[in-house]
Amino acid sequence: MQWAIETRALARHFGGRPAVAGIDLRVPAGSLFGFLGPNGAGKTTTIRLLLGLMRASAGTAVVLGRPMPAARLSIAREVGAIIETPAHYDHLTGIENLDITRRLLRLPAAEITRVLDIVELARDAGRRVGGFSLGMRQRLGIARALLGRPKLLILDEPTNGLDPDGIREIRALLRRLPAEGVTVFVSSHLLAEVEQVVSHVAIMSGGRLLAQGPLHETLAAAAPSLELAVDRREEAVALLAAAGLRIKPGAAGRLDVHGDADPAAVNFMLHAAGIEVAHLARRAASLEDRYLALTHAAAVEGALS
Amino acid sequence: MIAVLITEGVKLRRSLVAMLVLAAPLCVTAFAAMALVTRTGVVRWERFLDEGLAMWSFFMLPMSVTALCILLAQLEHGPRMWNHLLVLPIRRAQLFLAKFVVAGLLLLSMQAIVYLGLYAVGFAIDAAQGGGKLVGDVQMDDMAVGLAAMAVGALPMLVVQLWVAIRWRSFVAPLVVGILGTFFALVLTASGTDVYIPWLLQIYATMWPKPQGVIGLWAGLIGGGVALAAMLASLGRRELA
Repeated sequence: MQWAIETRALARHFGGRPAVAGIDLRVPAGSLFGFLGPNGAGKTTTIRLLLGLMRASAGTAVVLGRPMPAARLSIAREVGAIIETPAHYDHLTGIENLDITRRLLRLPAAEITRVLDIVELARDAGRRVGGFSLGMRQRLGIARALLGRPKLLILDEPTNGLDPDGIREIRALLRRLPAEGVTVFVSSHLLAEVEQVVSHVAIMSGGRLLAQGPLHETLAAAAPSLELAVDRREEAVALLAAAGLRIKPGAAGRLDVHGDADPAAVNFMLHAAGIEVAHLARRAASLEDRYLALTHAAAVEGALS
Repeated sequence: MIAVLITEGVKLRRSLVAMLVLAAPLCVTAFAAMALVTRTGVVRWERFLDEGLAMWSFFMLPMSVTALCILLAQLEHGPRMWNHLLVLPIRRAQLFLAKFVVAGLLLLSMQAIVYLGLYAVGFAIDAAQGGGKLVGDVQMDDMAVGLAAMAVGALPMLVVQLWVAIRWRSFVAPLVVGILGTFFALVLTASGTDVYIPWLLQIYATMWPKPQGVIGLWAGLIGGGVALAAMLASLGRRELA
């Protein structure tokens, strides 16, 4: 099986407004897949369609080689998921919460110990969930999603609201999972977080899929930028903008020159104008650059249409 | 289905549902006890039990069913658990059927507590006042049959309340339905007309084997079955959030 998830022209409309507008999503089996997009991009709706919580207005979805929702029951045995915030019964303990799902999946009791060890929550699992921190709730949600050794794990914003320590824990956990044969599909708008862990990525905006593929290919498609430090910033910005280059303020008072600018040409231009160049370096494009370029272009296109 | 039922039982631990199931019938037995204590002279068992049953069937049972269904549905609505449950490899109808079965079992538990409670306070007050306060046939068999028939008659009300409580995330909708149903049932009863709405069937059912009681019992059984089938079909198709 090449794809853990494959959709064709998958669409969902709400009162005529497309929340998901005919997307062809392909998630390679065994990948750690980042599903990115701003709020309202259609990520959660797509996830709900993939899990059979919603019916598609058009198109098809194949999950783990079987059609959704026709084969929902058999697919659901091999899929673990957290949709939006992880939900728990606050009046029950962590173990009791897991026990409910374990019984519904007809798994042995030892499975609870296994997943608690994975998320490192064994020590606190006997306490009521109402007293859990957000990070513990997230880890308990992931533990529940891991019950039954799913082949596909779908996590909607798993680091939402977590502190840096919590984010690092979840990141380390996600990195371990593909080695155990799990395809991990992570929806998020935290680009820097996603860039650190994923092998593949898809970017969605306005219900449309703007890009997808291996992370390195997605980054390669973005033009690198130049990082520049000069003595007369305003003059430099005006000069480079007049030459057709896109300039943005960078870190530590520097300038970022976006687009396929030649460093030697930029240096010559500034030098000829009497502007002293203290720093000039090519900076590889980040996922954020690519994301912003794509979503900005989509927004402009949407405004014009 | 057994596994789904067991998990419904696990969810009730430390929840308000258990408190409601115990407190609502005990309220009725407390009222019945107060009425008996303040009454002078001897009282027939039949009258004491009828008053207790009337209090329970007209007002406390409908409102207890309303509260019970709200609490059962809010176990899932509160923490937004439906999403999690509905992605598991279980038929949706099983999840909702298990909710109904648990609600039905809890209803029977309340009926049993009313039964035991009324006899407990009746015998206790009678003994405390030196015996002879309550006279006549103790009617234990008739009382048990009456409460069982009441539970059957209450099935359509139970299904409607559960359906509304699951369908809407807010507890306001089932609360309004429960209050309006109980209110109209009281008004219709006072008007003396025989109108068979879900909030009255449990009262008619206690009249079994009189004609009204037979209608109440069968309407409860058949109406409850039809309403349950409709609920399972409707909620099974619906996209819950």
